[in-house]
Amino acid sequence: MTAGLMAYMLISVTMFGLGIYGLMERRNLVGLLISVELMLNAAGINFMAFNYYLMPDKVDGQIMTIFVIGLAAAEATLFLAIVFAVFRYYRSINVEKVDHLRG
Amino acid sequence: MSELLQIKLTLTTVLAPIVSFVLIFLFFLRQHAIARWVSLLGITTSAACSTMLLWSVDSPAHHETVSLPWLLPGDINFSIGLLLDPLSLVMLWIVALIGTLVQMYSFSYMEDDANQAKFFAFISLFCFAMMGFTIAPNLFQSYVFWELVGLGSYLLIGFWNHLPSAATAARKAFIVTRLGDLGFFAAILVAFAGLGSVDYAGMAAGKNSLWTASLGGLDVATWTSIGLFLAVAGKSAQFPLYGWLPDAMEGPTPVSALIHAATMVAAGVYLLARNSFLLTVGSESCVIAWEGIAAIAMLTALMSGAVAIVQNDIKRVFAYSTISQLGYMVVGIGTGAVVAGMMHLFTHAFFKALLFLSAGAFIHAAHSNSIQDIARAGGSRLKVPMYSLLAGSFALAGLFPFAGFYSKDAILEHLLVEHHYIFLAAALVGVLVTSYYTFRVIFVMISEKGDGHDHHLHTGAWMVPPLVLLMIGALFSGNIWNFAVKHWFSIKHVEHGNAALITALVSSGVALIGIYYSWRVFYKKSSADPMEKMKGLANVLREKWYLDWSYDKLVHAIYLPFTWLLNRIELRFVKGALDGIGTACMNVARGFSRLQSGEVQQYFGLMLAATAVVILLITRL
Repeated sequence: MTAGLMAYMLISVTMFGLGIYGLMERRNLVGLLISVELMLNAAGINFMAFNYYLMPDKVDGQIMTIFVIGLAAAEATLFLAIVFAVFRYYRSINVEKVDHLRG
Repeated sequence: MSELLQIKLTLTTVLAPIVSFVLIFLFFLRQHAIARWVSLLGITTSAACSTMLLWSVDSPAHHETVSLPWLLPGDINFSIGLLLDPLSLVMLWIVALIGTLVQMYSFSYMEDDANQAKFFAFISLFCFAMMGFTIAPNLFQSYVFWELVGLGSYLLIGFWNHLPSAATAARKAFIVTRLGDLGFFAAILVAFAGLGSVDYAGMAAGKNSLWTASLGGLDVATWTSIGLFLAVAGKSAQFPLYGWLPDAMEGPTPVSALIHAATMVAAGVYLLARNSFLLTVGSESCVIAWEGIAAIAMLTALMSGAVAIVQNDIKRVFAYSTISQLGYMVVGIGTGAVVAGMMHLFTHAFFKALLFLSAGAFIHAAHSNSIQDIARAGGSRLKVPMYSLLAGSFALAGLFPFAGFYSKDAILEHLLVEHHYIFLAAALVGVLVTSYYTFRVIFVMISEKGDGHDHHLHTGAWMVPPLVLLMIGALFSGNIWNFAVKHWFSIKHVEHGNAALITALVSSGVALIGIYYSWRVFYKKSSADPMEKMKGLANVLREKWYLDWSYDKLVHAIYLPFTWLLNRIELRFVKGALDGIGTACMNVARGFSRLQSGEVQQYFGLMLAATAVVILLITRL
């Protein structure tokens, strides 16, 4: 395994970890969205890095990354729509307030 | 008449009332005027068709059964079908005819009732059930309609269900007859186990060896007879199950006339007549069983006749009299005089329906059931009901030339010829009692002139035609039977010297004594009421031989503690166990529901943890 790949892996693991941390700790719905984006992009970096270092003559990883970016765009649209709806109903975008489904 | 036409006519007869029932219930529950006509039209169709059917009976051996397979559990075959023989056709005709007259009468009697559409629907339902019972060719089908008849009776007794007494009476009638129905069911099972068939034709043709096969001490025929008699004791109000019939008088009077005088209570007698072949196929124990049936019926006739003496409710007098007359019929059939028993059923249907309907006319006019109240209100000035009461009473007392004279004497003559002297003596006492209590009603009625000014008594317009027609029936039904119906039964009439003349003279003499005594006590008041002298007996009679009282005690001593025990067991153990299971489930579920905090981030954390666990597991393996 080359040193370059290792560096990319470290970056993506860090981004993914930050994403998870943000998802657990942020109370703001938009913060959550940003955390999710971080995680998705971490995965994208992984795809690109593996593609570049392990099988440079193939493009599968690149296609996957473009697919992930497209998915992230769609997801962000939906998520923002939900955030608007939540805000209209609760007058807040704090996730702790959104607990109507409490058992 | 061709067979096919006969079958069509029979089906029309039976199904017309159920069509009216359905029509009224679906469309006309609020339109009383239409409902009553729909109902009358249905039963009139039945009456017309059954008359045509009766006309078609030309030979004594006329007998026809149509059966279709119905229930086929395994290799057992229960069939449904029609049985057309003189016995069923005559019964069918009585039911349809009396049903028509009673429904016509109800036009007036129920004119002010807010639920009369329901009344006519129920009475149509009852007529359907009764006619279905009449033409049933096997015990099983009979049983189905037998229960339906019971349902009709229950619905109509409790028709005025806002009265607690009516609701209680309906319940009592249903439960008490149900006790007897257990016997019916047992009889079906026994007959089926012994013979492998419950068709009347198949049973009558069954081998004697099958009937006399031993089954737990007695033979099959005996057990069947006992079971059937239990059923008869319930429906036809015989000792010890007759207590429900007097209470059933809580229902509207037309119902009492139709169900509790002419048809349903006669269903038991008809069932016995249908199964009277048991007398000839069984062993000695079966013959003894039928003797026992006759003895119980005789006891019933005497006991209830005596109670009728002290009743002040006009309908209850006739109710006890009905029980007593049913006793006579069962005595006749139990001692082998099937035709005489059926003849008494035939004439009794007319004159007892007449008596009830005239009682109904008085009640409708005077708004009271008590004989004394009706007399005080001037009931004796109601012309038509008074004449019908007279005609019915003469017929009931068995005086020439009324119908009861012929039919009662047919039974008495049979008892004399067959040397049943104890029964004969008891029956003559019964005749005396009958004429005494019957004419007590009349003499009490006419001894009061009434004040005659305040009351505007009148007889309903629709009441008169049925009363007149039934009066004709009370006069001539005995002759009709003797000249026409009797010859359809394949029984040769044997002359027994002077037996007929002797019984006619003796029984008329006894009846006249009863009437004379009744006249002295209640009209001329020259001799004291014997009930005043015999206080003890009078009390026993007023308490109805303590029969209801002892049932009450029995229920309180055995049944209620037993149900209390069951209730405890259910509450403590069954309910406790079930509640425990329920509570446990609830608690577990409540514990898990804590996990559903509604906080997305907690879910996410759990998901991460679970994923970690799964990954750990996978990598370890």
